[in-house]
Parts: sequence; structure tokens; C-alpha cells
Amino acid sequence: MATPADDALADTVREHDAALGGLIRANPLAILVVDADDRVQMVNPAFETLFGYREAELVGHPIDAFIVPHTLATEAAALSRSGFEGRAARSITQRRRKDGSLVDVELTVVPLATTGHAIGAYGIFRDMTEQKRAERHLRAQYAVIEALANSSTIEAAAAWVLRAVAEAVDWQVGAMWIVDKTANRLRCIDFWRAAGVDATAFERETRDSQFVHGVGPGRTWEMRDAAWIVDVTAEPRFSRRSSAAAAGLHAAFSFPMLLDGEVVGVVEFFTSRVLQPDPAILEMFAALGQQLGEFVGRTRAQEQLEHFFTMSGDLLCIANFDGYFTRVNASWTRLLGYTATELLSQPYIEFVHHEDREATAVVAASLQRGDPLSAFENRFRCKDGSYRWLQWTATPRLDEQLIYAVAHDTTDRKLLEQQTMETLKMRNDFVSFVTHQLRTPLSGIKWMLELSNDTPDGAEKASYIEDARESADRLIRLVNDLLDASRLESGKLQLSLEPVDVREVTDAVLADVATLVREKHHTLDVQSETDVPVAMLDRQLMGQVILNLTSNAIKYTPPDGRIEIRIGTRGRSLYWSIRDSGIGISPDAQKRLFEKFFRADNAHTVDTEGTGLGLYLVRLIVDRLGGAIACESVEGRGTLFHFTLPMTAGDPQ
Amino acid sequence: MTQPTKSILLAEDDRFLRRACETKLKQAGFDVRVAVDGEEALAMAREQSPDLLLLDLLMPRRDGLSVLATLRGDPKTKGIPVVIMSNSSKDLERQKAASLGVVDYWIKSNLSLQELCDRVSQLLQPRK
Repeated sequence: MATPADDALADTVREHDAALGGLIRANPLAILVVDADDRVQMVNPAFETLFGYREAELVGHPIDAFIVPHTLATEAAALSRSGFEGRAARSITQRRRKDGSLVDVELTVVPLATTGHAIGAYGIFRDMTEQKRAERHLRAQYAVIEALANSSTIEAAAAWVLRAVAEAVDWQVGAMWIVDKTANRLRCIDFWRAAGVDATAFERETRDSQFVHGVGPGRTWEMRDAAWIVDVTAEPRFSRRSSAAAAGLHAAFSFPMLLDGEVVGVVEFFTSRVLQPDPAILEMFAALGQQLGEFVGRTRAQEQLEHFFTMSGDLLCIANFDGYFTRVNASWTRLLGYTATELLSQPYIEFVHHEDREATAVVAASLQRGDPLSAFENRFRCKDGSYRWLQWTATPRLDEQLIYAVAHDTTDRKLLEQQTMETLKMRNDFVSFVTHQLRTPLSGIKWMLELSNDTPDGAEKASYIEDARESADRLIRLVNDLLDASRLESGKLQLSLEPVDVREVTDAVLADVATLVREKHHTLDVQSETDVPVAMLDRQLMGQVILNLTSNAIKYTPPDGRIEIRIGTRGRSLYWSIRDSGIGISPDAQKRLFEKFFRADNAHTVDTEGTGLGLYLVRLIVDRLGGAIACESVEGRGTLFHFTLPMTAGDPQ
Repeated sequence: MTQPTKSILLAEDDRFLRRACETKLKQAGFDVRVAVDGEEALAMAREQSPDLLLLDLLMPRRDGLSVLATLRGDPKTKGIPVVIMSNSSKDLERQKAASLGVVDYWIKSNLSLQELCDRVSQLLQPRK
């Protein structure tokens, strides 16, 4: 029964409502008014929009039945109670829309009371969807960034990333897939599920599966874009649907991990609810996909650098400011023969050639002051005791107290430089020597002619002219020898091959030197084996070899000496030898006997006018004809020269 | 008024050059002795302390620079005036000779015998 007082109260409320009505209806916040029995008195248009109910559907009914999720019934009751007890209350919570979806709201309950007597309550709902989403996004972002920062590979980061994302969107299962470029397939690298979710079979199937382009997570790979499945158990194309159903999973979304527009992996999430595509979620994780792709790119770059470091043919290393290597690549072992452990276990200066240590210490000090280094060279000792020349480029990092250095093995180049220098020096020496050798007979000719000019005495005049002529002969011989040597050295000398009887050539030479042999009272003994075949040789060159060897034997054998010449065959080769009882050749001189311009010390005492070209020419000619020459000698006792030649010049013996 | 005859030691291994120099310098009135190699030059220089040593560089048994260095290392011979007569024009040899203290360094093929003789006379002239 309504009392007049109650009527009066109801009037008051109505007046109050009338006064507030306009304000409530026009309010952008969703506002609900309930009476003392917690039945809906009115909702404003913003409420209708937020929850999807028409005001007429709700008026007169308890509101909780419509918009409070089961799980939040207790919380909702507590809020109502507080309103009816005259206390305002506020909660960040969730309410259900007419379509069943949940909406994040900030709910403020304001008591509606007259003279301390509760006659109803206002519920003011602020839509928190965007804010919540932003918060979750931020939280997920932060968790992902943290996971990536603490991991060196995507494999190590995967579990953390999946968990952060799944928790942020309140989904229960996540899996990460990486594109295996070799197999051209997606391979699962990690799987995460929320506590309390039984997804054993689904996890096993996921981990064991590989997908090609366009299939399963491969669709995301193909589309390069996020994808959404409302219910995987109702999707025929979803191959894992039975195990997913067993795990109670329904909606799924996936997004690509993108690196420079290329898909390097796919992340997928599953939830136990059947859910329509949520563009906000898809959009939110597009950015995350980019981030994960770039991380993969960075770790790949890291791997590439690592590969580069390992495979480089140059010597790469990192050294600390205490003078130790902290890292060396495989080239060090390859080049120097030490293991990495051996290289790292003692100060690097210990490996440096002692002559280069001071300079090395100077550049190390300069590096430690922050100056980069380039083109510095020093020698490093190999394990076998030999040394290699290394050319260094290095950069210090003062903040890390480390030196990053590259060394290049320049040993071969150094050797070449040295050889070039030696060749140049030899050339200079040669030019000086030849200059000297040419000037001497020239001076002789000039001075002898001058003396001859100065004297009226005919006999004296003739004697000077004779000496001038002899000097001229020497000059001509020298020039001819130099030209022959030069032609033989350059290989430009054409052989003129003809059948040559070596005995005949020997006899011809002996006829030319017969006077000299007689003057020194030498005994000459020439013997040839029977049936020495006629050989295809260059007659003139053969003559020169025999002449040079014979005149040496005559010259370097004291008077009354004995000279033996033997001609025969050795195997299929021609053999020729000459033995004298002369001054002999020291062992040291024997080693250098066939070098250009070399003259043994004891040769000078006998003949000061030799050019040092005779035996050199002999060797060049024997080489040119394809033969070999050798010398045996004992100082003071005598010398034996012998050579062999192929029967046809140039043939192998 | 007559000056004592100046003595010259000529160290030269080439017999034509040796004969030419010896003949010319004797004609000019010098007392000329000859050595045919470095060892002989060293021995004769020690023995006779010539007023001038004409020293070839490239010689058997001991080269001219070695002869020069040995002479300079001995107080009895270090004052002997030496002229290098060589056909070698290597800078290194010039420098070595200069550092051991020589009066001059002549390239034989650049000189006529007369010029050679004039230069020797000038060197051996008593100071005014």
C-alpha cells in the first residue's frame, strides 16, 4: 500500500528525474537508473549503444540478469549493495553485451536517496575497451621487448614472446613458426599453453608438423598478412582440428613475422572461445610481427657475421688491453699452426719476432690511446718456428677496452719484394761490373796509342801498338762473351744442329791451342772410346765449350803438367771429360764456379785478365744442348770437368 | 835547387795499364815501383813508404779498399798519400774511399796518360 508519504516521495523522484532526464539522455556515458528493488527504471541511448539492448527490453527487470557475466555475479551484487547502502562505489570490470561479447567498463554506482532513505541507484558505465586494449598492447609490447632483449636467438625468445602475447589478449595457446629456406617449409620452433589447458596432443601435432606455402600457418606466410579463423574445429582446411578440438580450442589468429616485406616466420594463437575477427587484435599484432621479423633479421646478421669471422681467410682477432688475444678465428690455426687455446694463453707479444716487438709495443700503446692502426707490419712465429709477415689493420674500442684487428699474411709479397730488390741490385752490380770490364781494355788501347804517339823509336812504337791490339782483342772477346751469354740467357740463341764428331771438334780445338801447350811443356793425352757415335749438335757451341775447358786446363796447370781428355758414351749420352794436374779449386769456389762473373781467388793469381764468363758460358751451352756438367777438384792436385750430352741436342738423356 | 826524386808505388793488376802508367811516369822522372795485386801493394807500401800510392780497386788477392783500410790502421803507413785509380764509378766505393782518407779518386778511362802525369806532378810538387 502506498502511503501519501510514499506518493510524495515518488513525486519527488519524478520531479528529480524530469530535472535530470535531459542531462542523462544526452550524456555520452552509458547511464542506468534502477529503483529500490534493483529493477531497471531507465537507460540512456549511450547505454543502448554500448550494450545493444533497447530500453524497453530492460525496464522493470533486474539488470544483472542481462549484463553481468556469471563469473562476475558476486562482484556485481557487492556493487549494488553498496549503492543501496548509500555509498558510491567504483570498479574497473567487464559486462556482457547483448551479443554475448564482453566489454571492459569503468562502473560507478551512485546511490539515489532521499532523507537517508535509498530509493534507487545510478549506474554509470564508461567504455574502457580502447584503454584496456592500449594497456594490454603496451604490456605485451613491453614483455616482448624484454624477451627479445634477453635472448640471442628467436628460438630462445619464442616461449617468452608467446606467453606475453597470449596473456595480453587472454588466449590460451600460442605457437611460433620459422621459415626454413632450404626445405621451403614452416617449422615450429616453440609452443606455449596457459596453465590448466590440456593441449598435449595438439602440442605434439603442432611441434611435429611442417607446412608448405599456403597450408595451415603457411597461409599467413603466403598472404603476408594476419589471418583469423572463427572456429578451427569447424574449418575443414585446418589440419590439426581434431587435436585442437580435444584441447577445447576454437578461435585462432596468426600474423607474419616480416623482415623487409619478406615473411621469416609466423605466430599463431588459439583460444577456447569461438570469436569473430577482432580487427583491433589483428592490427595490434601487425606491429609485433614487424618487430619479431627484425629481430630474426638481426640474429641472422649476427650469425652471418659469426660465419664471416670463422670463414675469413684473413687473420681476425680481438685483443684486450692487457695484451692477450680474447678471440681468434680459424685462419690463425691454419696459418700459424697453434690452437686457439695456445694463442689465447700467453701475451700476443710473445708470438712476435723479437726484432719487431718494440715497434709492436709502440702501436699497441697508440691503439690503447684510441688511435686506429693501418698498414703496420710485423712477423709472427709459427708453431714450427718459422715466421710469417703480417700486415695489420686495427681499431680500438676504449669503452670495451678491446682492440679489433685484421691481419693479412704478406709473407709471399715480402719475399717477392726482396727478390725484386735483389734482382735490381744484381742488375746494378752487373752494370757496374761490365762498365769496369769494358773501361779497362779501352784505357789500355788509349794509353798504348798515346805512348806510341809520343815516341820516335820505331821498335818501341811497334811494341806499344802490339799491346794496344791485344787490349782490343780482349775487349772484343769480352763483348762477344757478353753477347753470347745474353743470347743464351734469354733463350734467343738459335741452335744450328748438324752431325758432329766430337773427337774431330776436340782435335780442331787442340790444334788452335797447340802453341800454348808446347810453351808450358804440358803432356797431352786424348783417348776416345771406339764407336762413339756422331751426335746431332751445334758444332760452334761444342767448339766453344771444349775450347773454354781446355784453355782453362792449360792456363791453371803449372808448367810440365798433364792434361787428359776422354771421349766416350755413358748410357745413351755422349761423355766428354778433361783432367788436369793444376792448382785445383777450393770446395767453396766449386759451389760458385758456374756463376756469372765468378772467379776463384787462386785463379786471379794465375791470370788477372779473366772475365768470369768462360765457365758460365760453358754451363749455359751445356744446358742449352740438354746436357749436364760437373766438376771434381782437390786444391793443389788438379781438376776434372766432365759433361754429358744427349745424342740429339735438346732430347732428354 | 835539385829536389830529391819522388817515389811512386803503382798498384795495378792489368798489365797493359801497368806498363803504360809505369812508362809515362818514369819518363816524367819519378821513381816508380809496381805491384800487381793487393797483397803485393800492401807489402811494398809498408816497406818503402812511397810519396804517393796510385791504387787500383779491383785487384786479385786483396782489393784496393782493403789495402787502403789496412794502411790507414797502421801508424807507420797511415800518412801515405793515396790516389784511387779505378774504372769503377760506384758511389759506394767512392764513399768508402773518401771515408778512409784519399787525396783523390780518378777514373782511368777518363784520363789521358799526359793528364794523369800532370796531376801526379802537381800533387808531388813541393809547397811554395
